[in-house]
Amino acid sequence: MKATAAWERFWFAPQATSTLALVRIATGLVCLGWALSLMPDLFAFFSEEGVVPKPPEGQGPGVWGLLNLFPSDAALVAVYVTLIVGSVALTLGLFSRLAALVVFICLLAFARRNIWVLNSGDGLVRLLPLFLVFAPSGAALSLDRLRRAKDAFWEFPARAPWALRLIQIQLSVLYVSTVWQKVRGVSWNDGTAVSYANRLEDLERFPMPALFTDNVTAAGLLTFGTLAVELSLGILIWNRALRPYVIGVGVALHLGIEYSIRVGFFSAAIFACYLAFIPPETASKAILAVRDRLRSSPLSRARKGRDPVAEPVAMEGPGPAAARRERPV
Amino acid sequence: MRIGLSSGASLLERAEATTLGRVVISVVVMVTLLAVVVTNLPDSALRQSLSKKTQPYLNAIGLDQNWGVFAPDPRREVIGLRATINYRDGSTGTWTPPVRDDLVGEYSDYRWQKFMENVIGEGGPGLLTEGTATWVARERRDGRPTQVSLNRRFAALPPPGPDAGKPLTFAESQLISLPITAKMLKGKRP
Repeated sequence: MKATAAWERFWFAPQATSTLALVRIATGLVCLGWALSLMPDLFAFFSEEGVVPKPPEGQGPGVWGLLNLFPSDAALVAVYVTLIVGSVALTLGLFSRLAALVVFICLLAFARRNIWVLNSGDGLVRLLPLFLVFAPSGAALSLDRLRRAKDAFWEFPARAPWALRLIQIQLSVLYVSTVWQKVRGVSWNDGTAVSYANRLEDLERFPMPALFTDNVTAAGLLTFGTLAVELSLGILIWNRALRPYVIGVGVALHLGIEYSIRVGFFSAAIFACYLAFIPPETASKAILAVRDRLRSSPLSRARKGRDPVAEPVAMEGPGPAAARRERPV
Repeated sequence: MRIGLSSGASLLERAEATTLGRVVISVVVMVTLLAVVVTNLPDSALRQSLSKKTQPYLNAIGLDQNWGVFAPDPRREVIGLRATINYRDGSTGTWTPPVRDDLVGEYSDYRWQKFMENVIGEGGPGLLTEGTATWVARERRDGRPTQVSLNRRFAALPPPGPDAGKPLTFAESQLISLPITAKMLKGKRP
């Protein structure tokens, strides 16, 4: 009975949707950036006249993708434009579930059409909207919210968090899996892996100081440190007290990777996942603090003078006190 | 556990509000997590056996994944790809994967880098090398290319230590040399 109650509490106890709203906005922005960055090479990678004229065969049972079913350039342009529109809608929270589904199907179409141009980060970018299909991500801070409850726009209705939990568990699995795969290698055990990774000129973004790449001691510290941080992110992130510190070193690690190695959208997708671990009461407070700051900005005050009707409507939100009343999970 | 519903609740939210609905969601969640765990297990007889059942499910819903970033080991070789194009008038040209600016262009260039790794990994004539050589020829069709050769460049990295900072010595080997016909240069797009 105790286990059943714990299961119910973990997956279904309603919590404020402020965290989910942040994850949705971040996911939408990452997907939009991903789509825009594809523009210069869209036809080179995915057209019948590109570097891979036909979709790869033998991708495994159950694999499907729109561009494999409809390999024409017209379909390619349609999927691409739909991805951009869907990403914008997801960011703004307009028909959020549908937008997440559309974005996911479009990303899957690209992933299945050319498997040789995408990395693990692209895989994570694809998974985020999939999880959001099952989440009430438009319940707060969205155009969906504005349409349904304009007067209560700044409230964060409580909903079952099971889809958000899936994102959290996915991040945990990602880190434990990557550590598991790394410790089976040679260079992650002899302390040279990070040195090799940072000296791959074809992958280099900005140069690292020689101290971090050439020095044996520094290479060992960075290699074992990376494993320690990744393992912590996989396990200790579930401890509420340690979470801020674990996420802090995770952010530092990924900023370092972002600086030195061409990994595309991997760090951005990881940061979107980190948002899923922000306690809802913290997310609510942060959002309302930003709202209050924006309201007190000179631009807003000037607008208030011109548009005295707009303010009372916005003031009907719950304010920070209401955020404090929300149940912590 | 009772969950309150707003008037505009979705089908999923209605399901979450009932015991039966939560049981169904729990079963789906458990099956999905099991499949995710299986696909992330180290390569073993157990994984291979279970994957036969779970992988089609993950593939179908798009949840297939691989988090082996620089695992089990990062490469110990710097690589590069270069195409040499021979034109009808006897002149030659070269093509290399685009490298735009490091700040913003990186978010497009990483795909070319990944593709280059896979082309080089093919090791010789194949789907990717032929596709790339043909595409390069088509990109340069105005000059009337007659042959495109794809070469890989590579240099071994020394281990960290005193030799790590020394300049690398690159070698080059041919992946494919593809004669270009007029038919290959034809395309739907100008």
